[in-house]
Amino acid sequence: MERSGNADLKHLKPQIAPFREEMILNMGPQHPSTHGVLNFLIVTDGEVIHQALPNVGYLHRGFEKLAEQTPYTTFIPYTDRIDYLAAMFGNHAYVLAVEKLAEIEVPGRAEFLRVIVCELNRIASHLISTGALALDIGATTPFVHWIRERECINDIMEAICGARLTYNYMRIGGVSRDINESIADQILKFLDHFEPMIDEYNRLISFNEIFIKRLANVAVISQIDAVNFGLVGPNLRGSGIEMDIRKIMPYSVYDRFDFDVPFGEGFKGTLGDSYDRYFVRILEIKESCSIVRQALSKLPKGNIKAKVKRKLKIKENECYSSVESARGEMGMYLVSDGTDKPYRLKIKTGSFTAMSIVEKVSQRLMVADLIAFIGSLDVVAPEIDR
Amino acid sequence: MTQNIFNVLTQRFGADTILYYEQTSFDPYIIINPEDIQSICMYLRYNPELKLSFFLNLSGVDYPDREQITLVYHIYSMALKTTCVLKTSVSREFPELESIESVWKAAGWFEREIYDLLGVSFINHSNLKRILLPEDWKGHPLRKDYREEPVYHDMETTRNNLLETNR
Amino acid sequence: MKENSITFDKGLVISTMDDVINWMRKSSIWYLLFGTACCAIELMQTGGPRTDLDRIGSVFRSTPRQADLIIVAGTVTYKMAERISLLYHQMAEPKYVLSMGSCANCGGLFQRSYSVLKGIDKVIPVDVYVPGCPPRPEALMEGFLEIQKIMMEENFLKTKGIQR
Repeated sequence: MERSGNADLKHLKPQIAPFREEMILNMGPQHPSTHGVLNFLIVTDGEVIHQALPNVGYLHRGFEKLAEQTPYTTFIPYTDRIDYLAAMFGNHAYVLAVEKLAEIEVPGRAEFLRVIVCELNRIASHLISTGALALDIGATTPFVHWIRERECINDIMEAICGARLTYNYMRIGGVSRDINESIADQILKFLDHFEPMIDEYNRLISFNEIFIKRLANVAVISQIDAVNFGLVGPNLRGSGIEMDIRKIMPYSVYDRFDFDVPFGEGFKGTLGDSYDRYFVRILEIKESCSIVRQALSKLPKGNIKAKVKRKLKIKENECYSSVESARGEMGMYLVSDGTDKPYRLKIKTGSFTAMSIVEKVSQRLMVADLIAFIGSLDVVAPEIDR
Repeated sequence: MTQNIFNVLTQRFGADTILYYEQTSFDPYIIINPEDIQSICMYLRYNPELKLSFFLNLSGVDYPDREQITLVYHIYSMALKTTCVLKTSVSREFPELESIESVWKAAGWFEREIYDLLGVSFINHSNLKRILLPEDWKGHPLRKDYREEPVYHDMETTRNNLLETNR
Repeated sequence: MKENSITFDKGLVISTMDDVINWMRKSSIWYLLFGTACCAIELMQTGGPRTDLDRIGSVFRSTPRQADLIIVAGTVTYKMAERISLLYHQMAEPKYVLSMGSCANCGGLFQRSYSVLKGIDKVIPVDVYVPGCPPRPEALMEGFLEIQKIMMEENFLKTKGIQR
């Protein structure tokens, strides 16, 4: 396979010229990219970056302080807004932590329904992130195609729980609504229509020569750096490390499904470059489709919610529980103190550590490569700032 | 699993540094002396049997009735495939602790967030500045006795409830 | 526009200057691409294929100098509020503001938070409020039609700028 990238432009390798003047450019917080309010202070001499300092906090809404003032059962709508593109995972992480502390057992049908909606949400989130990466690089068509597919998933979610973006679907002890035959048929019809579209998308953009040249060998993150900086999710797997919370610390009913976890191999360039991180997400979409099919075929009958008191009081204890969200591991550290409100809730997200690696990896990149790098990291602003 | 880690640490550092092992809760934890945190973490990371190389989380909890701020470290071991929880406490009046950014780079931004929201300063940190709130914010919001200012930069911080004003 | 105009065969229309200018202005509202949080995703979906904002002539622009409508979509924090007022003052007259979602209207879900500005109308004057969390694309389209109604009632030739 021919190696693409900047291998034939070695004589133009970026050097930091000591006699040129440096200038500080401000990128953001309002900018034509779709990753939310992020701000970078770029110290550059025109085209080559000497330092890119991220400046976060433009969407800090104070979730952790709000959690100390809200009872357990009413905090669930807030957890949707931690990461609005993958709202089900926020719900899931929070109710897992509360159920672990209060020792509530969830019925089987509810667990399978949770897996179905979570995997559908993972597909929706990856559609936006890969489409936004293509849009940032300059290709406008894939994004519009993917928005059209995402509308179908929005329709399914609206049939299940009534909302398009912020679902508020899970409850402590189960889920809030059941699905019937027609919704299950709708999901299967969508999957039959969607799986061939992934191959069409690959023909459109993933194997496109210009796209590969923009992403391969750009911003390589080595395995040592990835573990040192605490990266999680597709960013970590793109560097070749097999770590997925669904396999190493299985929660809910994920141990009953048969699925692979894709990780990067240097598909078109070096191991750990931006193309690896992008292609791992495309492969994960395929795996999620197969998990949804398996879950629909194994769905048991029964209750969808355990009996839980309206004013839930948990005695003094603490625990840490995590789920594998679309952007990596989302963990919740919950401390209870005997009342009906938490004493402390700390939310750990994957985008927070992903932003901290930008300063190190972005030295000697071109300004245009920085855009491709941030797009391949797939950060969303509310996950960083909470 | 955490019992193994506790035994190894007590053998290496002694009972003055590794203070207590709590086993009865859902996640067993080890309480350590705050002055030796850097050396303990360096040992835990590079020990080939334990290999605690993956830093998961660092949180701070404010206990005003005990006059303490407790810091909780969650670290994952890729060799033993288990999570280890370490706890240490600093006083509320002079909250200072040594930074472990030299052991795991991931801890750098977590420590900045704790400095911003709880007011704990970390010695030998490379860039200890506020990260989530504006640079000129007064106070540390996650403390239990935090009070909001009424005005920030000519913007009022409250809004009248229309249902109450039109009654 | 139909009240003040007379239409003949073969495409001849007689109307007032005000109506014609307002009709031209309302058919090409260019909005500034500015979204902070969840409402920004619904704004993007409104520009998508199903509810198409392009059919009423709206496209998004990335710079405030080329826009005549700013849609504040999402939660506004104190750190962000000063930048929004800078953006608003860079826009050229006539300009309009549409506040989308509960968080921009009044603080929304985060009323009791310490770092959230309780409503964007504390910083810039707002024309249309669209409620919802997040508002559906059809609701945002209704907000656009309200802005068009406001534009149609303006008397552009008598006064310079906008009557508020």
